[in-house]
Amino acid sequence: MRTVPSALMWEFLNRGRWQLLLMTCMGNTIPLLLFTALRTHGALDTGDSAFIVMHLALVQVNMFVFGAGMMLALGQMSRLYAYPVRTSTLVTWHLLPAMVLMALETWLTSAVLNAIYDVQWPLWGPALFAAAAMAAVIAVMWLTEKSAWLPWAVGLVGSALGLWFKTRHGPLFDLPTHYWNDVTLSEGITLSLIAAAAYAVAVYGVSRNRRGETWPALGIVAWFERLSEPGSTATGRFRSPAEAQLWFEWRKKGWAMPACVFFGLVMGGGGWLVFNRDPKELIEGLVMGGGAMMGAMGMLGGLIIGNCGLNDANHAMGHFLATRPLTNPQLARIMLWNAAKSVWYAWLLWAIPVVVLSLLVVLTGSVSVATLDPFLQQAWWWYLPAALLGPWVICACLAAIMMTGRSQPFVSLVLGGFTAAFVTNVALEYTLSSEQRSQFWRVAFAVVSGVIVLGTVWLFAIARRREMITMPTVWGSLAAWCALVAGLIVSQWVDPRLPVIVCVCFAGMLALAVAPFAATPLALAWNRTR
Amino acid sequence: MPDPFPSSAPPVVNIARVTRQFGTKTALDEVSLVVPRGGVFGLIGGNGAGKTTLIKHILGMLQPQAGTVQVFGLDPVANPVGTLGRIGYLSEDRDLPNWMRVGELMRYTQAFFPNWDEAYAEELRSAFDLDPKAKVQNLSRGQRARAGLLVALAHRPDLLVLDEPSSGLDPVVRRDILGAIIRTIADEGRTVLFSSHLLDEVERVADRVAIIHQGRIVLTAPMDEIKDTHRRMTLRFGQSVDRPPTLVGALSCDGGGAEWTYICNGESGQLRRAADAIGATVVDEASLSLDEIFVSRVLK
Repeated sequence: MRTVPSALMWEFLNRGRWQLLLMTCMGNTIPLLLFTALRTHGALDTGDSAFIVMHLALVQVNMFVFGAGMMLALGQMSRLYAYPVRTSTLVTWHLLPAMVLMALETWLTSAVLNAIYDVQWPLWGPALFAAAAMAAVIAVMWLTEKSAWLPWAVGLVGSALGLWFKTRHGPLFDLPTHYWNDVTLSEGITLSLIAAAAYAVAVYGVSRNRRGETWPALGIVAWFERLSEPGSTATGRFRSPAEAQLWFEWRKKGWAMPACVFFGLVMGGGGWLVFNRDPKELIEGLVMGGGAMMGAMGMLGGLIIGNCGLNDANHAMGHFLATRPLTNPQLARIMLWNAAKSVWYAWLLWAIPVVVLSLLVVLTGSVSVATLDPFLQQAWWWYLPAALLGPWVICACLAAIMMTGRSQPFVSLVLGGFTAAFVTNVALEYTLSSEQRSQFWRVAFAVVSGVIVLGTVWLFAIARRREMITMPTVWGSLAAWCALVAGLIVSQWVDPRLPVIVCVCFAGMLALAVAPFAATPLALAWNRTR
Repeated sequence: MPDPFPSSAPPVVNIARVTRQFGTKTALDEVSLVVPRGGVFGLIGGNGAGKTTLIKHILGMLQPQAGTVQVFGLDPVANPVGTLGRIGYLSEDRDLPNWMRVGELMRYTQAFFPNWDEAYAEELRSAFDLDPKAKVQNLSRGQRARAGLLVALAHRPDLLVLDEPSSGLDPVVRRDILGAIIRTIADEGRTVLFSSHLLDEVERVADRVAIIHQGRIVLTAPMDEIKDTHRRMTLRFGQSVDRPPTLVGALSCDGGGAEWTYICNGESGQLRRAADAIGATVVDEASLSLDEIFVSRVLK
């Protein structure tokens, strides 16, 4: 590398290549699954106004997810402060490639979706917005780095940009009416000004940080900081090591998932109050949007709860945890209990408002059950338990993977699997009929669920052989799986909508609900003793 | 009355022919080491010599690829409660939970150790000038080390393991660790194993030393014995020689003409007789510092 810019860009891109790739896949998972499912059922009607709403939501989700990957890739700028480089150079050669990548990713994913599904998503408007918004958010983060102002400043700027983006698709306080197909001159100038202002703010912020200047901490910020500290301070003596460790796990990680759900509900409720105020939309949004949020939060919870490392980048178990005088099975039980507690509280935070508000609007006659989404009318009896089971499966399985301290092979597996599925799907589009494709995926899911069942059995056999689980745990897990399968059979009996092969697949996948009981102690042992 | 050092009691740590590789690098190469009960055991070696790897085996954080590790007669991997429950450990990277307050850290750690001595913990907290309400993340490096030391000591462990305890610390904290703590524990008949590359510290407090170099133990012996058996001898020959004659027990040699200085391993009388045998006269003889012994051993 002969120049400073090339060295800076190489370092940035090299350290973040996997995160960016992973986040690209994650950000596009939902649209790919959604559009594939819609097309399979012949419901891919791009003329439907709901598709504009879908576009607005999915593009922003993709921007958010890829942006999170970008933040990971950028890392702490302080690592570069000692280099003999001007602050403006540091900022330029991080901000510029970040903007270009952001625009490129947004443009390319829209173009790919257009090519595969013909959804006619606009390309340039969202791509240019994504680049400018990325710059603005990064700039604000650098400006308020290591201060309690950061979440508030990012929230404010992010919200303002989100609202502006919304106005490109129709009125601010109503549903979007059109795509942002053409970028006008004034819009171009606005985005350019945002980017320029972001650059100036970023240079100022990084300069301040480089000089070690801090922002004044007002009393109210300190008060918020204290308020946001997880849980209350333990006062009494712990009765056992397990109790102390559970307190540790909850204080360090367990609270995050319920807190995020609470935050999501407050944001969603606030949005509903400002933009909508329709009781029917509230119930539907709370139930369906909230259910989807629970899945996402399960993922987030798993990533946090399963991380036994010193920081977010290093998942290898640190000395402090590794030298607790606890056995691996004890530690695993505590961590699973922490995960269960976290999922349970998160679910309660969402389920209680769902039940209370549903009863309120139905009993007061604000909404007639008959007018609700047909899915809700059919799913009312299994949706709440499923919204508890789903996040548990996601959270516990992901946590077990994280607990190995070796997420790289699993990331590769997920990336490889996703890529293979995507490529296969595209290839099948052009080679098989709709019915044949459907058949193919059913068989593929059956194979995957068979592998899951066999894998779970194998995990239990290994854990039992290494005396990490007891026979009651094995029988209990088997009983739990049988109960879940029985529940699935009952649901089919009440409402026989799913083909038998799909039910068999689901039955196999339900093994994931109990697999963590065997996987967690094995994962911890693998991480703790290397 | 505590056992005298070295004790006849079973060793606290018994490592037998342990080998460990990381990729192509051999971190430990058939290392055997016995840490007897009581006293201070200094593990010295340069950066990357294998000190931390060896300590991680003792803590059960690494599984030997060959050989065995026993701590208190138990396998630390198979029996973490039985071993870690009797060990106090201060890591080199001062890995403590940043989000905890000092008071919480004490209360949390207490739960794992039935022998936790509340009065002693409070005494240490006061002596180390640690505010119980202070967050660990806000502590200075020295305060962090003191907090780590507090929770490692307050349960009066049978074995205190300190990995580079004083690296990066100011003299006051070093004095706390070395002067006040390590000797006290050893005097109570308990065992301290501490690794360091600051040899003057080891020389001051250690009763027994092991030198580790490139994954091998090159010397292990009581400190007094090491110092008694390592000497610098200046020999004068009858006439100028181009290359120094081989002296039995010599580890290294420097000089020129008729006078050569040897760093030797052996008793004074034996070495003098060996000098006579090659026709040289001893013109000067001095004992060595641990630093000089270490250098002569690892550069051999």
